Amino acid sequence: MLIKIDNLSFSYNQKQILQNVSLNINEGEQWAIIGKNGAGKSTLIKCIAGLEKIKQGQIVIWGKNIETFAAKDLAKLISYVPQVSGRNLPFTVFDYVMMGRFPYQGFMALPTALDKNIVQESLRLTDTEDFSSRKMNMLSGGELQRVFLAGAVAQRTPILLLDEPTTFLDPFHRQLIIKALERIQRDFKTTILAVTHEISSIIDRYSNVLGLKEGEVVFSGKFNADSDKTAIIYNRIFDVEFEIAESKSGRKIIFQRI
Amino acid sequence: MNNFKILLLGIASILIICVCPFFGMNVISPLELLHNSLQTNIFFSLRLPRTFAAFLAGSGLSLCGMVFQAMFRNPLAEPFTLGVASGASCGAALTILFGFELNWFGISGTSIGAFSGAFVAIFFVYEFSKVSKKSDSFTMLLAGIAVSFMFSSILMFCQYLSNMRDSFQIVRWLMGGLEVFGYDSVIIMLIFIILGAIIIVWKLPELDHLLTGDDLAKSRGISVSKTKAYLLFATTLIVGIIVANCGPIGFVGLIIPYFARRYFVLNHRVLGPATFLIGGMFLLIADTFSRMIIAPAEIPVGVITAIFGAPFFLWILLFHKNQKDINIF
Repeated sequence: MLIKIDNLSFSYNQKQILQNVSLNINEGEQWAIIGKNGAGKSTLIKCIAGLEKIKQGQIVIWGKNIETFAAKDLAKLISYVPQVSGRNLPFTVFDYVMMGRFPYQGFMALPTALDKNIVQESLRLTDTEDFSSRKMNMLSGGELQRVFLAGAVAQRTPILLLDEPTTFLDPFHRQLIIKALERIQRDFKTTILAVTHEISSIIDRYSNVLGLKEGEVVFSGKFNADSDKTAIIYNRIFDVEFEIAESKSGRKIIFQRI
Repeated sequence: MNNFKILLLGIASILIICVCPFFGMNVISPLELLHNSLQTNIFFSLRLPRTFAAFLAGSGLSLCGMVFQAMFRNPLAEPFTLGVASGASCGAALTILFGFELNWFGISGTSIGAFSGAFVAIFFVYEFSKVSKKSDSFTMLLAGIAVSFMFSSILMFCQYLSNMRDSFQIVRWLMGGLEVFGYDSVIIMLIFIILGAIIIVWKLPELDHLLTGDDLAKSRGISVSKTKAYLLFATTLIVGIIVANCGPIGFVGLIIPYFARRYFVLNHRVLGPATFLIGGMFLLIADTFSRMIIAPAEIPVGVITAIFGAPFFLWILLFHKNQKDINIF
């Protein structure tokens, strides 16, 4: 088992964000983390990324408690793409992606030939090599999100955490991210956990679903498109009604009833 | 390409350090240096140490400005806006007021006061950021400005309490200047600045990461709070010793990193040396002018940096329209 979350609770300023979350994740799985805004999805991702101090419960990665990892060692196992912020980063795309190599670099983080190769490969996988010499503050939101992804890919970690990777993107740029994630999954068998609001496409793109509501796990496991229960679970997570339908091509779609 | 630019800056720095001591109240020609013992004496015991001091002060302040800006992710962060300089000034004023006189290997009582003041201010801002848990740059900057005002008020209170002689001494010290400089002060400055610079150089790649945000930096394997502590320690060493010896020289820490970032890439491995060298040259030239403009009188160097620096800075802001291409965050 790759990641084992054991009775994790997390509170911030006396406000309970996560409550007794337990979860087992195996290698190569792709998890969609869903729930209303404020349900604790981002906090859970941050806890797994080692960004928050865990006081109750524990997260174990490959049999080792996350709190006991040295910072650089954890960065070789887990990479993280935060929600897109509006910040202008003045780096060139290449230099930014190179920063993903930090956990492997020594004194002064001087890049080796191997680092350069890996950066090139990461750029190729994310369709960003065409503008690798441009500055990041000159990119569009869709391009920028792929550059952030490329930075995480350059970290070459078995686990990739994404916080709403496609939320602010148009269908075209969303598709580019999805394709990039498919290539990453194909080439490296990366285990992916993504916070997402793309409810309708979960069936096609993720192997497992974790539903959070007010910090508690409402559902976790494989997604069954043929079961009516699925729509009911969604109703419970979001407090709005969902139904499942089949398109002419036979593709199962879950969508919100209006 | 970048290495070439740094090399050019290095050569330019050496040239300027060699040329500047010849200028001043009167110009000393290299020939006089060989034959006129009075001029030789002025050159070696007054102008040369002052040249080194000016270069060191400029480069140190600029380097610290650059570090603060990356750490707080704000191009307005510098030793002054974060209250470090006013903390140091306040410490120095207190030692003048209470007549804490001392001379210990060229370290004066005022130096120790300034040093402790800088340390208290940085410690305060840092602890504030830890307690408030809001590491956003805006809060930090506001905290710095609050600290700055607090120390300024204490400083004014000191002046109010002190007699004419002390008060004048405080005011003169506050104007910043490089007047009396012997080699002992230069050596002390050199030691502190080298120590601080070694730590900063060691952490230069981390500065790139801090600029992307604490979370992302952590996920890349950086111990963010440890790195910040190291950097704050280094900047305190540098700013403390400079303010202690030269008084608060404003503006350098703000405009030089901006300038360097604008005309170089933002990779801190390149930006660090560039900022260091440009800052040194800038203050050295400013100091040389300050000695020449109304010679034999001297204008405090802080006055010169602001009078000439501010319009230049505004000119850059106004007339370089290619906003999208700026290396500013």
